Amino acid sequence: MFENLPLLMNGFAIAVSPYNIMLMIVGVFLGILVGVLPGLGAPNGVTLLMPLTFGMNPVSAIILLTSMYWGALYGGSTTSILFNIPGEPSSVATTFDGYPMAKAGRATEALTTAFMSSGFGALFGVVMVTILSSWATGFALKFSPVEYFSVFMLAFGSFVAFGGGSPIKTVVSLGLGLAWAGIGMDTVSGSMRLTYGFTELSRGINLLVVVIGLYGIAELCQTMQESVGSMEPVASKLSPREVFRAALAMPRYWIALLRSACIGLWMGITPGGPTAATFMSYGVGRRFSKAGARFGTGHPEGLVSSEVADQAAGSAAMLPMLALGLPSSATAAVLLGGLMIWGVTPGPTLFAERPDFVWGLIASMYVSNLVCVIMALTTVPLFAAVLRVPFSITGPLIVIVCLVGAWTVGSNMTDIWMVLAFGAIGYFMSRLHYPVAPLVLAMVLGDRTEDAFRQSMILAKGSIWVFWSNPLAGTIITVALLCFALPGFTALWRLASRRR
Amino acid sequence: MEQETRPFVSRFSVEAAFALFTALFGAVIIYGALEFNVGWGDIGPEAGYFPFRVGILITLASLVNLACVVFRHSAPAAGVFLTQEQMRRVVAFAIPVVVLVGVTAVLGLYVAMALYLLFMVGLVGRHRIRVTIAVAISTPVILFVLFEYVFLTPLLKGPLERWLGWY
Repeated sequence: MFENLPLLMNGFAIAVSPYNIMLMIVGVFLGILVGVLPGLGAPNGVTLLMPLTFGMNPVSAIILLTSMYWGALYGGSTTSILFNIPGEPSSVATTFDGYPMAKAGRATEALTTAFMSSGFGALFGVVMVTILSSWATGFALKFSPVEYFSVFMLAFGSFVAFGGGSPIKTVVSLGLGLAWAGIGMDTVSGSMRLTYGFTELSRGINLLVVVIGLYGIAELCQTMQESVGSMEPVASKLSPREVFRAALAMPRYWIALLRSACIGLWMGITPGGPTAATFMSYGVGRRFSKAGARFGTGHPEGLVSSEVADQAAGSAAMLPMLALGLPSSATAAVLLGGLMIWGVTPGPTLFAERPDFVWGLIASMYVSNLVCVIMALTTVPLFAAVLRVPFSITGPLIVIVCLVGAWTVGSNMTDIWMVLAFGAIGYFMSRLHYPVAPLVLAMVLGDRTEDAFRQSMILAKGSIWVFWSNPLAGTIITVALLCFALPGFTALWRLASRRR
Repeated sequence: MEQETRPFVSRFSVEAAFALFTALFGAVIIYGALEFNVGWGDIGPEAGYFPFRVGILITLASLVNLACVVFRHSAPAAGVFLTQEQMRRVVAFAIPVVVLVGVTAVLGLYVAMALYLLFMVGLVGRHRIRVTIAVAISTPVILFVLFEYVFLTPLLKGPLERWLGWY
């Protein structure tokens, strides 16, 4: 357990330089900004910033982008509490208790509780990442293409089973992602696939372009559809004394803190993601806590439940991302795409080959979350003012940011047109409740899923039973298949019980 | 007020249309995969194997979706997708964006964004002329300095920049 300590200290030596601290502050600030603004969120924000990091050294680049991610998670909470608008899908559960608290004149208490909970969740997550990393790499070293394919299927299956919403729509999303990932050169045979004679398609479809369209343009369309003028927060000033009082009250919720942290950790490491973690944690809290009956009326414990789980899951998601190359949220999927561009190959050997990168990142997570709590609290008045700027100004500005971001991906006009197309598709998808996160995940994992499958088949000379040839792969693939089948079973069961 | 709530298109038709669209997309993927061997070669699955099955998956899932919409006509499929007022707002937002991209291809990003902001902030948003000009001029200037000099990632330029001697 303590053998990682020297490595972590090394990481601190790398991460805590004035330059990197500055990047953290910039990242967190931009993160809170994209978290606060409608139409920009963590996946989109990280995507827009990504092309600017191509020339940076990988450690600084990942510090900047992950700081932005943490910042966006905090910023999402601010708007949830003050405006009843979840800036991020994962902060929907924050509105349940956060907004009623703010409306009752307890905005300072709500914000402080949310940020302190987030800080606790993140700290718990990163401590567990520190402790579990050796175990995770050891585990990941056992992985051959067979296990990788199984675990990718599990990631897809868990969206179908636990993603919420219509399972069959989730399948369509996954399929679209896999198909888009397949466009371009086939990595095994080298032939051009699914290009239909368009040379523009031979480069493949860039994930960043898809994310800007699906999350940026589509969300702007959604926001525009409802008439928004400027938004008035219920409060925008914090009194330091109340901040202090709310912070001191935190230990009172120690059961909720630990319970939610464990749920978040579990959902972050297994491919469940922060959004699912918040809802699960909130649900479990409402059911088992003494205060559960008062959840939803503005009880701090409801706020604690969702915020802790959100950040714990977000931090813990770094572990499977680094050790297996398996992202458990849309933002982690984008970051994973970045790793490959910076020439960092995720996987168990990464910990041995690039300890500076891995431990620099982990150490930075300790520091940047402290930066987050401080900045989130101090910038509330600023961002409340930003949201008071009429949307008829911020909206067009966000459009421009999205298009500029699309151009910087590959300095290509086709990419900008594609952003519009994906924006239209994304608008219909989210209006019709097709989940977008599975699509992004499938796009990132598409090629690797196919490669893993084809390599497994070559290893096994074409026998599908290779996936059950050892207990590890066998268990994972069985659970994955059960996940895919689960919605079918529940539907049949419901049908049967209705007949009776 | 009546304008506010008058339905433009029902959720049912959009659900069905989008399911048809994804089904068609799946069919296009199947067609694209058929250019290659979709079966088993000497060294395992061939290039078309995976896309072919993904295409089938999309088409089948879309058809199930479609069937759910048509036969069940269940609660989520009922109701309004867009009211006329919402439709007007979405179109008023989307068309300028499409025009912006078209103009970008000809005049470059900086000039196009200035024109777009003039239009959106001034004419659509009806902000004061001072505000409009401040936003429309400062945005391209700030982005120009940031991208050309700080990030060293040049954005798309057009005739104006060429005329001014910036490439």
